[in-house]
Amino acid sequence: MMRILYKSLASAKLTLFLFITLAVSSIFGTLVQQGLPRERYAEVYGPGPAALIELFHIFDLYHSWWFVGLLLLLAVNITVCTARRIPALFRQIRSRNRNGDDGIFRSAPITRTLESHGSVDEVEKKARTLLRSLAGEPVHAARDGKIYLFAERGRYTRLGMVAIHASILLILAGGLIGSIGGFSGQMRINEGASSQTVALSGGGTRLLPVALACNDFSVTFYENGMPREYRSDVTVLEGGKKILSATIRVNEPLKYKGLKFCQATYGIAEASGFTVVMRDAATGKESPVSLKLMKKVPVPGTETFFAAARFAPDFQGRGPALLGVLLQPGKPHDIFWIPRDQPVKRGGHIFAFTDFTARFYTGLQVGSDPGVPLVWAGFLLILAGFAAVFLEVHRRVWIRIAPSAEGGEVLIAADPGNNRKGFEERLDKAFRTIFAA
Amino acid sequence: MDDTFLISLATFVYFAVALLFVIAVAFENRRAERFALSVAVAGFTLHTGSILMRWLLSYRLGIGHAPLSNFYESLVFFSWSLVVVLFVSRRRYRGGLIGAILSLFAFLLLAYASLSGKVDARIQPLIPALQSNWLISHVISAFLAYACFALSFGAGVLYLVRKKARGGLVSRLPSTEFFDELAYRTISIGFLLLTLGIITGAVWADTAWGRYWGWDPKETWSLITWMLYGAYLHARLVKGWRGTATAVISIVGFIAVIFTYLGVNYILAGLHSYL
Ligand code: HEM
Repeated sequence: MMRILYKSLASAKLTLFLFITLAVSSIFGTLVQQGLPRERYAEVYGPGPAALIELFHIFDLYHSWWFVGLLLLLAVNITVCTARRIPALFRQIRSRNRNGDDGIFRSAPITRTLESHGSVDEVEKKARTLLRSLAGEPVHAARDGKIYLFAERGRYTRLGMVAIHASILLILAGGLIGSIGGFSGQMRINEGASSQTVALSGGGTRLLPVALACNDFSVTFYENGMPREYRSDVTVLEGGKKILSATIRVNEPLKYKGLKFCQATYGIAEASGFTVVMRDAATGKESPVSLKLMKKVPVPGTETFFAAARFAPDFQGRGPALLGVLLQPGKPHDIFWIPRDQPVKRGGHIFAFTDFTARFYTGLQVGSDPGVPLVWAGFLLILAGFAAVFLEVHRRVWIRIAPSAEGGEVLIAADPGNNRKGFEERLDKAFRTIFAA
Repeated sequence: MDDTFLISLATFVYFAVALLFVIAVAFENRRAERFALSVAVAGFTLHTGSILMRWLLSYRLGIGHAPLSNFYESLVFFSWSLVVVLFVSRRRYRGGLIGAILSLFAFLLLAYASLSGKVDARIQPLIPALQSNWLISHVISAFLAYACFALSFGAGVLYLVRKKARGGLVSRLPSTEFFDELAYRTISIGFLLLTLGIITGAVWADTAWGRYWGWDPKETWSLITWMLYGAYLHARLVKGWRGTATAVISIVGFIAVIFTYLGVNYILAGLHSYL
């Protein structure tokens, strides 16, 4: 029973099964929206599918019990599989007598036989030249009147496979540690204010050991209106004392005591001091005024008053806008939205909302992830493993020379590691040039 | 004259290259093959020139950055990577077939980039999220990987075609073993590059968004692709599968690549939607 379990955990069939299953189930996670409020699923996908989504935790598939279970199974699979191969691997790396037995000349992936003329010494010299050109400096042994030669290169490259597999374990471990010991969320700080609490992504809040004050937020744009830079100037406060000041931009987070603050969003916390230009449609005369909310001003040359009733930071996706009110004697109030830089004509006047002074808030992504160093180590290790596996091959070549009347019978066996066809061509070519000479 | 004009020229040149390689294969003509190769060098020069020119132009506009930052630029670079793979593959494989596959793909991508009205070819400034040195290494490794997988896809399809062949032109193609070996070699290199692309992307995401992995659709699809090719490598190296089964994985793998590249932008929404 245990043996069967162990065997299946160590099998490459399980690896293939896990790769395919993880790939296919990941697809579902990209098709079904993740992280919606739970009651929304029935509206979006219908009640039947919503029940399945609830049952299999598909609203947060990548953290569901079964997905994490598959990842853990992959980790066990890699561990068992690699560990099982390690003893043989080290035996092979350490083994001194690699001249093998005669069986290799039948069982190796590539075998050749030929008759060579000349003295045994000459034949051996040729064989050595051949080995050097194919694999490396040969080791010599003599047994039963026969000469055995062996050459090998890239003896350590198979460790690259171990490194690759170990790196996957490191990365998975890093992910696990991060999800247990870390947190992430958003923080919103008005300009001139400070905050110490993070709204966690999974709901709830968390009090940070330090507070962050936002001294200034600014956003700049390119000429075509695309954003160029989001920038928060902040100060870290510990127990009310200023510890350090820093600038956070996108791609330039602030790191402090294992916490990381990244620029994520921004918005208008509060607007005041609106500039409105009233233009007389008949005369073209422009009168700019500076307004506060709910303070009426006369519209020049009329009995009418104008007031700004409300400000919207983003009106129907068209940017900031003012809700204007015209107070005309003896008529109902005329109420209309004026998006910034999109003038509106009312009565004999055109109202343009041109500018305002605002207090921004900065939205920071805040988090701490103690698993990151392990993940980075895993990344380095996997690249090292790939370098070992790709830049060098493990190749072994054996030769046996049995003296005969005219010279010697030469047997060759080779394990080329990869690219068998290319190696066979090289072998046969080297054969012809060396032994024909 | 601007960079997009050079790209239209390169598009036509690659079409001619693809035709010449097909002729070289059909008539087993070495001279046509050599000629196709020199025309390909000419097309590649125009193509590279266009990329450099665009780079320069962006500096003239005062928004200088490497031309790897929007859909148009990614199509152009993908196509360029295919031609790089074409030249590199000649160190090991002769014959016009690989040239025909790759120049055809390169032509199709450029044709889409320059002729489709949907692709905006204007040079645009970099939005804050893209202002990072990781952008370049991330994009280069990802698209070189995609180019390798495009070739292994071609090899997988031709494997199946060749296997079904009973006489005729198709049986003049190289052996099934050739296609099997070709798919394996390109997938090994592509897998390494894709791994590098995912790693650079993760490190970048960690500085830009504060997390190295967030199961965003593009990230997830790159992982799906990675696991499919991982399955391919293990099926071959550990289980010793050869032939139809692995050819099918190499085809499915490339479908996942295309979905990672395009489907995610067109069908699914996510943080990566600018590219
Ligand atoms: C999860 C990600 C994995 C990656 C990226 C990976 C990568 C690789 C690579 C690149 C090789 C080729 C090494 C070579 O050419 O010698 C390899 C070989 C191998 N892998 Fe994995 N592997 C993974 C998981 C696993 C798992 C879970 C198992 C467990 C069954 C496994 C078992 C093996 C075995 C037995 C070999 C053959 C080693 C040899 O030929 O000496 N791998 N792996």
